[in-house]
Amino acid sequence: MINDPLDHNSLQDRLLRQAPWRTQTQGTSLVLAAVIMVAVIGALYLAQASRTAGAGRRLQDLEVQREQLEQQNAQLRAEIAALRSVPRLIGQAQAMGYHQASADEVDYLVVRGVVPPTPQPIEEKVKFTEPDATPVQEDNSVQAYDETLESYLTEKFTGIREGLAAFWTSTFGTTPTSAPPASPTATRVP
Amino acid sequence: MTDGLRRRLNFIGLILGILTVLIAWRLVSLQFYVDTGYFAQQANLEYHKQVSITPPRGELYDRNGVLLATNAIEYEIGLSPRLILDRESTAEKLSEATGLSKDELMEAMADPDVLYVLLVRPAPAAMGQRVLALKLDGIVVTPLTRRYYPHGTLASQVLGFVRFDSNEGFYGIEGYYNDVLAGEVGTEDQSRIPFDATRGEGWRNGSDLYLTLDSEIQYLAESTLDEALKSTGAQTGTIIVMNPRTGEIMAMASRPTYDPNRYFDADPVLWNDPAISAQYEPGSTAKAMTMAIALEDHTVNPDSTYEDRGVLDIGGIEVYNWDRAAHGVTSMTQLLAKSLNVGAATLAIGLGPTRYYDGVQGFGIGQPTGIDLAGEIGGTLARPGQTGWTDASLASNAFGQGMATTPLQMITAVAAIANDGLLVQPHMVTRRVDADQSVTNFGPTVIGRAISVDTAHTLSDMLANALQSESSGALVPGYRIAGKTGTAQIPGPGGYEENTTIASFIGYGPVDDPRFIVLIKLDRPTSSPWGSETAAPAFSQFVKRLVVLLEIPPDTIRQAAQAGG
Repeated sequence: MINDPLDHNSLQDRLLRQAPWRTQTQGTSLVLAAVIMVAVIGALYLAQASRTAGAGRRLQDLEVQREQLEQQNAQLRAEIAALRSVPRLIGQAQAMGYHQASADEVDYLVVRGVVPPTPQPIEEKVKFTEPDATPVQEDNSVQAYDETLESYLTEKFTGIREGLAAFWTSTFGTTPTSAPPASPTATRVP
Repeated sequence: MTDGLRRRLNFIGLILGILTVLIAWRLVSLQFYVDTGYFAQQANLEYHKQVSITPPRGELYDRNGVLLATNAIEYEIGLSPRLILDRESTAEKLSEATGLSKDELMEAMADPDVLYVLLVRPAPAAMGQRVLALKLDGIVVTPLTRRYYPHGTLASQVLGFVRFDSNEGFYGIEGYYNDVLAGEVGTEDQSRIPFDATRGEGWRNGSDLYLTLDSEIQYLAESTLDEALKSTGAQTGTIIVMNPRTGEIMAMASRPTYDPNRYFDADPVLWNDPAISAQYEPGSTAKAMTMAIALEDHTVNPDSTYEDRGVLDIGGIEVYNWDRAAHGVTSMTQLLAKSLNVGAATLAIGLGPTRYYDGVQGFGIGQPTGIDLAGEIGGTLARPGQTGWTDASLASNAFGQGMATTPLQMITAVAAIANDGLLVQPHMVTRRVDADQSVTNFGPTVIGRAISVDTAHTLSDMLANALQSESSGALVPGYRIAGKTGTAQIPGPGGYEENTTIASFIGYGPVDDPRFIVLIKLDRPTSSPWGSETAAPAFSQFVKRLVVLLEIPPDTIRQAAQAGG
């Protein structure tokens, strides 16, 4: 039996025998790649965790700051209210020489053509309700934003159409219409 | 490698393998087979904590948006000795910020085993913020929310107060609307994981309330009451200003009063509002009701007369006029002008108990008005067959004796005459604004019809004419005013007190379009016992300024303007 010099199996065996470190290098590379991958993942995780912790800390700081600002705001509101209190303002006005006006110190002018509202009958002015009736709710809350793309386009298209109609009317003096003009016989009055 | 070494390595490998399998199995079992609730709870405890949220209490405003009650911040300042590194420096800085002596602070820091030492509570906002700015280790500054009434004593008995160590309101608006103002306490799940942060749940800010009060009219009413007490020597008093059309209370005050910012320093008796929680015998102001019932019943008309003999025997008692004089043939308007007890008793007897008491109850007497204030009482009105009622009661009730009302009940009853006969429930809140900015408006509530429109107009004219014919001190030049004085004896344990009275006046105007009704009540005046000489002039003085604030021109000008200018 003659050995075939191109027999790959035998060639590989021979090479391995001549350089056994090749298989060790492959194994080491795989392990090294795994270690690097784990390290990269760990580093990414650590970076993310530290950024998260940093953000958390900043959030806490901002919350504390917000609370302090709210407290200061409340305090300032209270101080403003104290400065604007009626007893204080009237006291200051009196110190400046003013006093509360009395009816005999006020002059009224009747302005021709200006008619103040006359008293309405009580039944019309006063809402009859049961003493324990629930008061009427007046909802002034902010409306939810519910515009869709379709409604937006429809609104824009309507605006453009109305603009064109206005332009047509101002230019030609007639109202454009897509409908066919009515026949003379249809509009003629017998 | 020797066989011995190989066996030992295999044995160690086997042990390690078994341990690895056990650990892996444990991990899998913890993940899938064991009740994980406990571990999840432990993890939650590590990362989360439940914090109770007390929402800010709603604010109070007057009808024009003037702030009447808000939330101010104070602080509690304390220290933890163990956490302070440089005591000398800390004491020095803290002393400058708080005003406490350095020695005192050093002593507070001396014992490191004490966890916490309270230094100042409550500390003013400025002091607390000074200490906060120092950022000292070991110094604890805790904010405390405190209810603050910027106008001090103004309308204090209407507003009530909030207890310092809680968010609970007492008396007045604070007590009645406590649930609305306090909001709802909730919980917040605070997490150390920042992206788990939530705004909490189950809590709701308190609603803001806009009152019917007008702070300027309130101030004017209180200063008028103070002046009246001073000039008449009365010990206590009450003033109420109401819109008779809507029942809106524009001002209400009593004396003595207290500062709700320091309610704890005041006598607890002062926390009650006498305008709604103290009853008195209304005296002659009740004659307006008696006349209204008689007119409504068509028992009399304005031109009817009766023979006034100065005394009337009824139920074993003798009823006298205030001047103990006989006035002869007297018209109904003269009866009101001269405030004759005999005439009023004659009317009530003519009506009979059933019609009279039905009429009085139609004016809301004997029951609470239902005003939205904490602590209202219903007064005392005995009907036939009830305890305390005698045959003489009908006659004495007719001129305001033997029955008791609160000042608010009386002004509400007379307001029905001004309001075309409709009895309107008095109320204090005109608008509520919730945390989501939704608004609830509170309109007038008509309780019922006390008298007909015609009767109301007739009686208004009679009351106005009565004031004019007597040149009453309550008159206001340029304005037609209707009203009635009252002078009532004060009942005590052994009968009526000697030489003391409650002087009062209830009036409204302009008669053709009533915009205001005012009650002034002065207890035990010393300058004169009569309402006509004490309360009526105070009413006039008040209304002269009130019409300016309400922008009501004199009748001639107003009528000319309404006629077309």
